[in-house]
Amino acid sequence: MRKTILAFSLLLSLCSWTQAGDADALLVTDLGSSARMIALGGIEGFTWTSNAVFENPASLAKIKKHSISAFTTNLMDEVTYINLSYATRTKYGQFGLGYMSASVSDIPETGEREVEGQTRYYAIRYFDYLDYLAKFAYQFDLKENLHIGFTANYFNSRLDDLRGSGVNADVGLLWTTYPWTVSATAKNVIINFQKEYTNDATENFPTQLLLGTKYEFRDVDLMAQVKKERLRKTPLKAFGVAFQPSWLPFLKLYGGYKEYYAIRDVESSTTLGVGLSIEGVDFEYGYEASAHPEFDNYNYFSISVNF
Amino acid sequence: MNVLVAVIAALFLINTSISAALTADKASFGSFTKRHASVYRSNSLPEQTLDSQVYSRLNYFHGKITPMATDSPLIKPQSSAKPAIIGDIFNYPNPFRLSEGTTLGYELSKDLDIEIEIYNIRGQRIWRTAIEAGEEGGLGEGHYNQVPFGSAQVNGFPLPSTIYFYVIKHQGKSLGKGKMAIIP
Repeated sequence: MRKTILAFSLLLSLCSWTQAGDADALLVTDLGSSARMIALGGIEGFTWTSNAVFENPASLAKIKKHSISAFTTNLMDEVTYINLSYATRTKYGQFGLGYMSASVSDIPETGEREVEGQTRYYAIRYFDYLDYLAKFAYQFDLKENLHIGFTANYFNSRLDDLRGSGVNADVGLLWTTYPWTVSATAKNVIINFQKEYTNDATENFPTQLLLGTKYEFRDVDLMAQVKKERLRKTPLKAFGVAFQPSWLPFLKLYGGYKEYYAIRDVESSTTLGVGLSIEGVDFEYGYEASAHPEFDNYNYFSISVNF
Repeated sequence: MNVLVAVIAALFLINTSISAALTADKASFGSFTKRHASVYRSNSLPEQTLDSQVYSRLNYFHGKITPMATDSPLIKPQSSAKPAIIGDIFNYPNPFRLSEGTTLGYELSKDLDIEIEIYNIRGQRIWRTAIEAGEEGGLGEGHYNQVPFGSAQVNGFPLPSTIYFYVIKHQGKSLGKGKMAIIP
């Protein structure tokens, strides 16, 4: 236990180190891994389904025998997100697989030309973009109430004929002592590994440290999280609340508040959601307020089957 | 008397027929205009061959654009033109490196106070700037506005290589949008 805490302190110090220079690569999972997670303000680590492979792999301790999850959304009529995951419980520990992608079509490659003495831009042709992340997770129990998990990540992106790829790893801890649960996750902990592109450029993987806690009080779960990125000085805060009425146990209502980075500033948004659990199948819907003038909100849907 | 009633009835029928015909013509002219406006935007040749004065004085019809003769009495003065972007918005170059930057290019129907917003791939607004009417970026009257975006605009902060979305707004409403790709 002491060694584990020491290891996480070391990771925390890595995340406290900020440096300028190379950009961090896109982390497609920053959108969220499920409608429920987004509806809870993006708080990670407190799921009981296979999408834990995208969050804190130690949460795989919560799955029963098998779990399958799927999630999709389309943002701004432009970006399509998809994820699929599967996890299973074995006598050697819990294993999980996950795939998440973001894609955009019809991006113009542009040129310029003179029209009656004025320079004007035009589309030469259109191309597509795909960014995906594949994960393999393993989780086992350190103690009855203390779980640890590891994830191997494979990143790939395709922007027209430009390709980028790389690997990294996550590690997570989950500690439960009723009514409290504490989740700690360090993402992309191998800071020397980079995403390499076919044009010889490189990007760092965003090393992130997430600390979250959940407090269960009757029908309500209260959650809070702090997220720190290596290149950022200011950590992001998030709060979430889940209400599962005891007199209507198949229904769950969610609300959340989250912060996100806007270049150097921190902005925030609010989230809502609802979930239905029927015979081991969870249907989740998430709503997020948006600043976009054409889209007041974004909508997320996910489904998970646990058996 | 019967003749008078018959004449009135005939006049009424003729009037109704003319109204119906005019409505049909307007509808078909609208679709014709939309179709040609689409061709006008997608085909590279017409823009190059258009007289700049003609190009600059674009008449709005059903929310789309149609080149008109400069001496047409239907041309509205700039001050009464509907706030809009004429033609397409593009950024050049695209794709681009943030360190080298890109330039957003668009034409406004008239001088307008505008806001440019940039959204990341998660739909989160990450950058915005306001431009007043009469400044570069808010000029109308046939001027092709060019607004730079690059490292200088984000104070040197390195952005991930991915797709970003820009929106040009006037009084809270979107006038147009586009996609840009940052490469490493």
